[in-house]
Amino acid sequence: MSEVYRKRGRVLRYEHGHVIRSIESGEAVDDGRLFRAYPNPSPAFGTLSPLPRGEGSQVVAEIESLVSAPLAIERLIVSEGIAEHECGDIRWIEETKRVHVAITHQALRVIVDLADFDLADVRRAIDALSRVTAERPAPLCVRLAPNVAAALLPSLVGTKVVELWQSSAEHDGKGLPVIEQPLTSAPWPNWFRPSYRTRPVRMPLHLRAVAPSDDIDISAPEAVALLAPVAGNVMHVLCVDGDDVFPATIAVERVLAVRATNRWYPYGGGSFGAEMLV
Amino acid sequence: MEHLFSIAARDELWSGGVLLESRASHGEARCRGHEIDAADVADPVLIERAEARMSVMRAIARDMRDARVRLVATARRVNDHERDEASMSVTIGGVSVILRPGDALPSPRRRGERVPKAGEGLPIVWRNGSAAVLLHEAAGHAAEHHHQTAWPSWLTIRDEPDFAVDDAGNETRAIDLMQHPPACMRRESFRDVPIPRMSTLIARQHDAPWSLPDDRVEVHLLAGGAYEPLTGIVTLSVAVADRIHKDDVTPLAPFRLRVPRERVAQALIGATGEPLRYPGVVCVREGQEVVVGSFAPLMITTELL
Repeated sequence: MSEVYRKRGRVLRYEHGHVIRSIESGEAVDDGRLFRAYPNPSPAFGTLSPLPRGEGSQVVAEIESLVSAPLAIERLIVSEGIAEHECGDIRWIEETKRVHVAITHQALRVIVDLADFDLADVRRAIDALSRVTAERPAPLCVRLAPNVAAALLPSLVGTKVVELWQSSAEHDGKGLPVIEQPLTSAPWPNWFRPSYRTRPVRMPLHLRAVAPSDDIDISAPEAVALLAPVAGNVMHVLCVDGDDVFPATIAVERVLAVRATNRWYPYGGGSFGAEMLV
Repeated sequence: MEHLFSIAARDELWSGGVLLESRASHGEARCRGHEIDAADVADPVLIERAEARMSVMRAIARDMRDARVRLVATARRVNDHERDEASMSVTIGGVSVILRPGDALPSPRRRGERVPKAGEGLPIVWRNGSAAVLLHEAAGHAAEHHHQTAWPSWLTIRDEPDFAVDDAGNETRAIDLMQHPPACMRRESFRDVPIPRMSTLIARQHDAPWSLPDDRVEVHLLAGGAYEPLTGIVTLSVAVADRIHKDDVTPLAPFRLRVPRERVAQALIGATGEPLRYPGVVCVREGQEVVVGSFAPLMITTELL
């Protein structure tokens, strides 16, 4: 039997000095063998979504005001949107906010991704980048800031580095409830569908790290921002140790303590930030 | 400046001659200065043109029983100017090429037997137009960041769009990538911001020196490339290459080159013949995927490993 999914939504996006207002609605049909997706101008559900509120322009202006030479904004994309979904007889609405910013200084680039408009992580990254000195070997112990740990979690699925749980949520990419459960091995129970044009895949959603201890050694250097996308368990990060700031490459093999937060980040199928001692 | 951009696209994934995924997309972007209003409005004429492009490629994909094939056809209009694009990305044994309808499929290679080691000191002969990929990264992407290099006097590297009006409604023109960044504005879809991109990179040699050493590496196909603007490092993933020693040909396992942009320019020591079309550069920048035509003569560099 074919599964039919419909989506329509509006997105306001700020990208490289442009403002893009887009409206789309579409349908995806999957019979298990063939996946088809196409625009559908009259989805049979809901009333027209309201336009997003338009806070993004302030976010762009604020980030631009935080960055001055010799630092430079290489990439800045801010978006806010609202989407109505229908899969079978399940309907739901989702609002999203996203910030992607890459800021450069000398041969370094910090990358920050957010799913809200709280810019504290961006401010910390900019402050650290402006004071950076030479690369150092990885410290014995590092505190990962919540935004850095969130970026790492999707890469740790299926490893024994840390215990991971899927957190509960109302709907996955097929409208099914996302059940809280420990993540041990595939097949994963829920579906990830970032767009109606994308065939949904089973994926752990809303990851959360768990450890027996939440005793974080606050004297350890803190990794406050990514300097490159995470590659497996290896991260190139910007570390702050007292007044010193330096880049370091860390291979995370053990997580000693985790202090969870409720802030959600847009990595993989989503992950919650946590302060982690590694 | 105002313009209206409309597009219709069909994107299909085939495997073993069977259609797995099919996506239709269409819409328009009304652009006024830096404001873009994008909506998935259907244009029947463009949809029909894109679909017409698909039928020929589908017949080919259906016959490719041992390949994974991605077909993309688009028809677009900017104000009153229309153009179509069509490409087939064919992956066999982990090696991808981009074919146009009618192109011959490069023969699949057997698995490589050894990996060249750093410092082996072997010159590299770039066959099959593959030097265009090297220059796409070292000259084209570098030029996007206004990073210029002293290239050999016998070499020209130009972007020569094969269409008259770009995706932002501007007349296109050829650009000397040794001096200037690409000028052609391109966008993948109606919801994307047009940005300056390469369209067709053509490297030509003009009375270049040429001699073929007995000991060399010959590069035939690449799996990807990148240019890091912060460091000027060019990275290439070589998918199909041979180690040549006189008449002995030993296939090489895939390997990676990582070299500063200036080193690429210094390493170019010869070229011969007319530009050859390399079968495919799918260039991704700012999340937008576009096909860039790529032509280069047979070229030789000193060792880059």
